[in-house]
Amino acid sequence: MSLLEVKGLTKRFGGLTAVDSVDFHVDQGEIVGVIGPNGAGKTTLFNIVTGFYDPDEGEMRFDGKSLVGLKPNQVTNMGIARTFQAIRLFPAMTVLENAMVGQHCRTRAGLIGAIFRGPRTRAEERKIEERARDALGFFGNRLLPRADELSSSLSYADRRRLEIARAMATEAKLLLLDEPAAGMNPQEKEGLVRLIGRLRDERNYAIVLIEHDMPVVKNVSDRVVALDYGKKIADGTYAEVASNERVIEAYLGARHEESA
Amino acid sequence: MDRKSISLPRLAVKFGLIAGFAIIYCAAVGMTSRFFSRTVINEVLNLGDFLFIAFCLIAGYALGKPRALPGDAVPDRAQPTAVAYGAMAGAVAGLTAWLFLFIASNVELRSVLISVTTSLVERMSYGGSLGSALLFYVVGGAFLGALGAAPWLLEQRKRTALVVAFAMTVVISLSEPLLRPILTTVLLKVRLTTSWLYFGGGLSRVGAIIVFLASGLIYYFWKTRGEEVQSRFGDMPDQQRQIIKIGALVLLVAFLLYLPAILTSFLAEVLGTVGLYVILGLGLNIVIGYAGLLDLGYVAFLAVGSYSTALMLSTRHPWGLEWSYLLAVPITILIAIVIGIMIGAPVLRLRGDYLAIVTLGFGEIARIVVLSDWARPIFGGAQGILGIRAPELLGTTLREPEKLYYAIVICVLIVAFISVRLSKSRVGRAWNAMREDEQVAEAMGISIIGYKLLAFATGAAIGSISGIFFAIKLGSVFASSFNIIVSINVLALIILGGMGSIPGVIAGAFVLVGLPDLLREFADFRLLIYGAILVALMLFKPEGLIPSRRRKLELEAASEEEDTQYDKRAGEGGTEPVVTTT
Amino acid sequence: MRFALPERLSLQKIIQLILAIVLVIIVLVSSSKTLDTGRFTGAQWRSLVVNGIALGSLYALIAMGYTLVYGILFIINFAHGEVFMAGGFTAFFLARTLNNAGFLNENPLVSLILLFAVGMLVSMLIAVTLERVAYRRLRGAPRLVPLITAVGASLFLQNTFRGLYGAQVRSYPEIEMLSGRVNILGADIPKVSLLTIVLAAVLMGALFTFITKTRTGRAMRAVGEDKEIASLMGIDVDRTIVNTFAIGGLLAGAAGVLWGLIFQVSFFMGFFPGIKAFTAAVLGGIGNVVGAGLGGLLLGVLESVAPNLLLIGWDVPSPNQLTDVIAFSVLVFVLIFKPGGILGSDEAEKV
Repeated sequence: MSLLEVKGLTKRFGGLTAVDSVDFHVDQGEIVGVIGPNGAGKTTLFNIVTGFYDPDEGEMRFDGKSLVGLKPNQVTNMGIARTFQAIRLFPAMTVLENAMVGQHCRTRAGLIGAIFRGPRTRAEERKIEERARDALGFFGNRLLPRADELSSSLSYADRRRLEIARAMATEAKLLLLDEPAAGMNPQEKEGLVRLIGRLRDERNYAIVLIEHDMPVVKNVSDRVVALDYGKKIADGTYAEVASNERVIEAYLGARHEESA
Repeated sequence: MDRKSISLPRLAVKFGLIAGFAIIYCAAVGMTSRFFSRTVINEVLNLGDFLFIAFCLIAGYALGKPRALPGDAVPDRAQPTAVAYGAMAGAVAGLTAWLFLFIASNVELRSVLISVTTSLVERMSYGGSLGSALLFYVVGGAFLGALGAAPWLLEQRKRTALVVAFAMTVVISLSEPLLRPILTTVLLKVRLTTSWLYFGGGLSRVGAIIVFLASGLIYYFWKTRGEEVQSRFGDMPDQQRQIIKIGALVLLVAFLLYLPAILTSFLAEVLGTVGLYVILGLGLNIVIGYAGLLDLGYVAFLAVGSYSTALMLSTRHPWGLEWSYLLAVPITILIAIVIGIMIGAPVLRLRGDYLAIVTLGFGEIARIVVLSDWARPIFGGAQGILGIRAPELLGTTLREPEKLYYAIVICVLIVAFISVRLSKSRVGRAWNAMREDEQVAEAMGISIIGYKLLAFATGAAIGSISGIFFAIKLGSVFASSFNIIVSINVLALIILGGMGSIPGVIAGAFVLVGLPDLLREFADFRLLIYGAILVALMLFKPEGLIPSRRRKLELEAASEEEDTQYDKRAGEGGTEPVVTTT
Repeated sequence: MRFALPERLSLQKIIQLILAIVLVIIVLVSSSKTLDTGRFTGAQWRSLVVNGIALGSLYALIAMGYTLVYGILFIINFAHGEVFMAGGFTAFFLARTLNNAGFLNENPLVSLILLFAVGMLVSMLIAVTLERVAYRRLRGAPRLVPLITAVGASLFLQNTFRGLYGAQVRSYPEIEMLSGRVNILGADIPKVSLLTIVLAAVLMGALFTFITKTRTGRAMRAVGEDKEIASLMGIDVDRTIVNTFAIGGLLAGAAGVLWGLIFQVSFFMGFFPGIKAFTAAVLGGIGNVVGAGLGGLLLGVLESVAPNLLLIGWDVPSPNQLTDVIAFSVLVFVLIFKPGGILGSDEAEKV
């Protein structure tokens, strides 16, 4: 059974059908790239899966359980974490604190715990910090040494990393990355490809990423799904999808030889 | 043409005009006449004259600041010509002020501007004719303007030392009602008086000189030597720093507890009020500073605390409950929490300013209902509820200001402790995350509903504690005490002090609540000054006096960003929850 | 056990529906109880309604200022009530001077024109100064900052005028032309109220024409939609914003003078009308000029009629003490359930 399974998912906004009967799935340990021209419905798809929008039709199942109607925090609890197209960190919190917030869904201490700091709370705080540091540590020396700096003081690439670290801290099984390569130079993109590979190899994540950068998609994805005007128009390996006529047309509007 | 030399005269005129209008404003609004009766330096200077002096000095100082064309480095100190321009600014200020006098002498303004009386005009002309006044104002203004610009000729540390010396002299002079009684009590023990420092309601001449020199020198040496101390402090390992910080805190607490021994009853009472507002500030700080919920009706919880206490403890209320404090306090807090949740529940989805207005509405509704004849059987209407018994604790009755002060201080410490613990906990992180980005926070598993309600409930509980003390302090409750000005007071003090920071709240409470009680002449103009301070703060230093580190950077970051798409319309519908569509 | 709701909002919608039904029932029951008592005659009710319309016209004039500024800057100009006060209070002194010179009642028309001119001018000046000094620098700031600035400005202005003019409540001198009542369409209304309604209608009509038909008005709407694009189109954004404040000030000043003619003036007179006018603006749909007008009228009538209509039936003593409660309750309910107002967009989604 697939880790994430989406069938016939449809979402309309007024007269516009942003997502139209989309089927797709992600298996354990898979990296799936989602491509398509602007406005194709990719981020909307993410928003639906993560509970920001409710679908008008269709099913979504994660680990066998239905995601329909769940609120975002419930989706996170189930094991799906995401990053955003425009990096959305908590700017006035430190690097470490940002990661620690990721652990919120796995912990329980409340008001009483906060005030009295009994042994259970303290143990939990230790665990939170540990897990957070562990997530930060995945990125080598880039984030951990700066754990107590404000997240807004990081470089752009590091902030992307922190966003991923925060998602990792939620102990997710599936990561949804929205245009992680945006704004990066070629070296950084190579690093990103390696990073995503490591996420799968070392930490067993299944990953779905929305990307416009074709080399990145090619180098990192096991499978690629292409969307256009809300509909899925291709699903297969990169080679298959890249040579798919409909995909080429969607991007270029005309018959064209693949050049990526 | 040299741009610098063109713009300086214009700036001089501009600053001079502003200063001049400020002087006129103070006179027209009645501050100047009130301030004439307050001594700054005995037999030398009173506060009314000081207004003129201060504004001219400020105009000169603002002008003296070295400016550079874009692209050039800003010089460290000014050219001697700056002094001349400073004089110009001061002269313009003086001239403007004199023009006002001229008009006021020839036109009867008093029927409209009630403060502009003939005696004021005479006083401001220093007993002379208009002609001599002109000379006095223009020359005096020029001199003061030059004096104000002069410090810019010095290097930075000396210059700041001068400014500090001046400021401290003013502050210590104005703090006379607070400091003199304390010093008297202390010095009496070593058989000294305070007349060398304070005399005639303000600083003595000798005292002024001493304060000026001392503060200037202390600042100067602190800055030169202090850096060494600071770096040594920073080099120490964490453990040691922690110990020193805790040690300092313990000393402070001990000092606070010792204070009533050297204070008069009046001062203990004032400090008690300050303490009440600190508690309120800490509570509102959680609602606004931590959770980001702009509550303008916070006075409602103060009222809830006071009225519950009154209902349960008054000897004169028709219900005649007369329960004990042991019972009343927890019940009051519980009621407040329930009401906090009731207020919070409907407003969960509202954005910033709308939330503010709704909470303001709730606060006003509560006040009007409580004040009405309709609710009089319960709340006593305009007469309020009287006869609230003071609690008995550890053998004494907490009626006198001194004893109440102890109770309040202890409460402040407890509430502060809770605040600190909350800010560093999972709950605090959740609130911060929610405040900074609600949607992402929710995605992280933070229940927005739950945490918003928790914030309201906590704020309510703390507010009600203050309310309990309020009722005890006065022995009665009146609806008119619970108006929007109180909410604004509390808001102002946490903003002034620095939102989200606990030392800031305490500092804010002292400045905004303590000082007006002490500076009688300012009493009439208290709200005026509040308003001006709020505006000035927001324009120049929105993070407050002692901001928490994160707040400052938050505000800087936010004002640099453009309004992003999902932020454009406050409170209106139809915005997408997540950024853009791809 | 959790139950998955197909539409996450439907629980809230159900609650809202129930509350709405309950509210309607309460209103109907209370009204019938009151009408049963026969305390008020038909003529008295009519009179209350007309007074409500007059009061509502004033709220509408002030509300225009709120809604215009909000439509363009997205801030609530908390200090607008003080703009209203400044004109009305200052014009009082002119009225008194004119009265002492006998001019007031010899040339009532000219005097009135002068009063309105002065009131509107002063209010406009205060509004424009407010924008320049307090709001201009804060255009990009997080929402909290301009709100607090507005609160501070409001306090400052209130107390400035208290210091300048004194804390006493003042009444405008009697203008004979305006005293007494007149019979219009069967209702017996004070002449001042008639003046209020007519003048307010004229001003609002002028405003509407201005916004829809003139170049400046179009510029204001453009800046309200998108500041950047508007400036790219050659619109001077700063100037347009100043114009917006100025117009709001003019209207508020007129309202201030009218208020003085009907009621009294004091340094504090702007606080409650300010909040109520804001309520009216929200009620009609914030940002919507027509809505502000409708909201104002509605609120005025509500305020005039509701305390008596709803409360007397239940034998509530001194129902008029609770008038403000009704206004605030309207505010609270509208903001909670329908922040878009009557003419605005539907309820705000969770942002």
